[in-house]
Amino acid sequence: MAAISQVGQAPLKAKRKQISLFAIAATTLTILLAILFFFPLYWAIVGSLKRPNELQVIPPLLYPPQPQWANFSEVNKVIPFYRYLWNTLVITVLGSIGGVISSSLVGYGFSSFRFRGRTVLFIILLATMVLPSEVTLIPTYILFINILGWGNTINPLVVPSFFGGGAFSIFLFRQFFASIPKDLNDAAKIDGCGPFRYYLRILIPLSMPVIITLAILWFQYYWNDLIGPLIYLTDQDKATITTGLLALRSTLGGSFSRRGQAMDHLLMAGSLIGMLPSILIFFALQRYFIRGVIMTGVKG
Amino acid sequence: MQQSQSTPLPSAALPRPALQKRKQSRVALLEELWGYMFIMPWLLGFLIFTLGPMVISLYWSFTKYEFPLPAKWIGLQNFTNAFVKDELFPKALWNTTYYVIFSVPLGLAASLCLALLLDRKIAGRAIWRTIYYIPSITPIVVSAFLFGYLFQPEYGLINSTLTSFGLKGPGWFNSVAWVKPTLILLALWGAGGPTMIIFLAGLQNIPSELYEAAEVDGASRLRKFWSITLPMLSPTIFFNLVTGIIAAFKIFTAAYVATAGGPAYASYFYVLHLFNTFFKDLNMGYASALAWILFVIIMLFTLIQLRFARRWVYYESETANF
Repeated sequence: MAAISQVGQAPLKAKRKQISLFAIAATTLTILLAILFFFPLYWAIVGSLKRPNELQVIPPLLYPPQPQWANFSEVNKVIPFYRYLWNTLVITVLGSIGGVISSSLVGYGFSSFRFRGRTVLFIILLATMVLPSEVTLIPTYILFINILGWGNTINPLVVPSFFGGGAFSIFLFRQFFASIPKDLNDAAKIDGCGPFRYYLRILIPLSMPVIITLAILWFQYYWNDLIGPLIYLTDQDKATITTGLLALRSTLGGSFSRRGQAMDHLLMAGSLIGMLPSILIFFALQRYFIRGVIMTGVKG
Repeated sequence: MQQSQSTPLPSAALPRPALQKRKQSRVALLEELWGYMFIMPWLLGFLIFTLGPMVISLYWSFTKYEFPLPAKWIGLQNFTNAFVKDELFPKALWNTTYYVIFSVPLGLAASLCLALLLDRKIAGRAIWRTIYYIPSITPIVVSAFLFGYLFQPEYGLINSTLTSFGLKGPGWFNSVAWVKPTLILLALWGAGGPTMIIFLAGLQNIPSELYEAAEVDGASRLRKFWSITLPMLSPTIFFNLVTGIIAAFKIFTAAYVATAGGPAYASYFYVLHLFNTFFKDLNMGYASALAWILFVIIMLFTLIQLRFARRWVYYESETANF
């Protein structure tokens, strides 16, 4: 017996040692990659705190010799950057509200009522997910600019989200509502609760996790959108963060070329301000971020 | 219900079911009305912002429509022009194909590697996951700026470092040969985002009994990865592949910001061409044709993948049935 167990133990031990070597290698790689992934951001932070021309020093300065916190207010003197931040916030908040409200209503309609053509309409809805937005871009542009006269207003960006809020959001709400036991609806009906009250008082409070998740996805969409503001908000005052950053770059005299004093540090400062809200929301609601992605990938 | 209708009923019993039926149909009608009311926002939005524009852009794609001049029917000319006359069209198509061919597989491999690294008992997993994820929430305009700065040919950090080792770095965004690889690197920086999270979820769904059984059989690490992880993960890989290819075909923002299509049209991608045709040249007819060609290309790629999926994508439920 003893001999057998000894024989059996020897290779097991060797294997354990091998595993720990592998674990060390993998952990080292995890950390090295984390440094690599974080580095561009570190570099942006360092860059945003440098003085004029310090970005162009060879070899590069790995840290700001004298951190210039004033750069973050300096940006606003070059172009009204904080105004662009506000513009973006207004569009993002309104658009996200529209998307969440309308997609929850439509999701409720598809999940809880029987009506003629429901299946066909739902299939059409799902099919719109693969339609590239480029196909509808030009006619909607003509509609908004020439027919409705919505040039340089936030309407073209915000109004469509109130009309259904996109196939994906509707799909998520429908799936969620369909998972709620029907007994709850029946009980509410017996108590004299109409469909709209049921939606408002029972379904909405129950679906807070879905709402937060979608709100985050909508936020990201609007905050990062370039093409929308680029074609609809041509007035400099109406710019958002993305078009504002492009304007900042051209104002500073071509971002990566030198002209007199190089002002790229301000571009870095602007970039950091522009991405800060995304990062803050990510840290505050990380759980929902991850959850949203998994719902997209696994259910979608 | 229908059967009870066909069975003959005694005349005395007739009024009750009839009343019930009428009441029921009223309830059903009411339900139908509520349903239509709730889906109305989407139905209107679909007609106004999707179906209507689709029909109109299809019509425009067969017209010569140089805004603000009225549209004039020219048949298939826009489509033949794209393939015969427009020199930028094949260029843009080739650049985009190049980008899709390299960025999608590399991106999937990178995301999968990161997911595998995090799918272990490792201290501070949430921290690493967060760090990997952050690049993907960075607005693309910002990440294009950051990369432009890091990869600046003269004073950028990458080339300065290479110089200090006695090497000469390439021109990155400024070089015809390197601009597409640099944009692919930019895409790879976001590999720790949603795609990785989806892989991570897929990995965590693989039952651990499979690995335990393989270990009893003395399977090596590589063998386990090849025979368990990859097949079990194939639906996830498939999903990420399909969505990744669609997204890569539509690359726009990074190139628009970092290079504007240059140098010498080396990073002039399809949607960039479409955008310029539409927004700069105001050539709505031709731009509409370009949009429909893109739609057809994306549909074809998706259908081909769906067709070949049966050969390599493993679905548990299929085998469980026999």
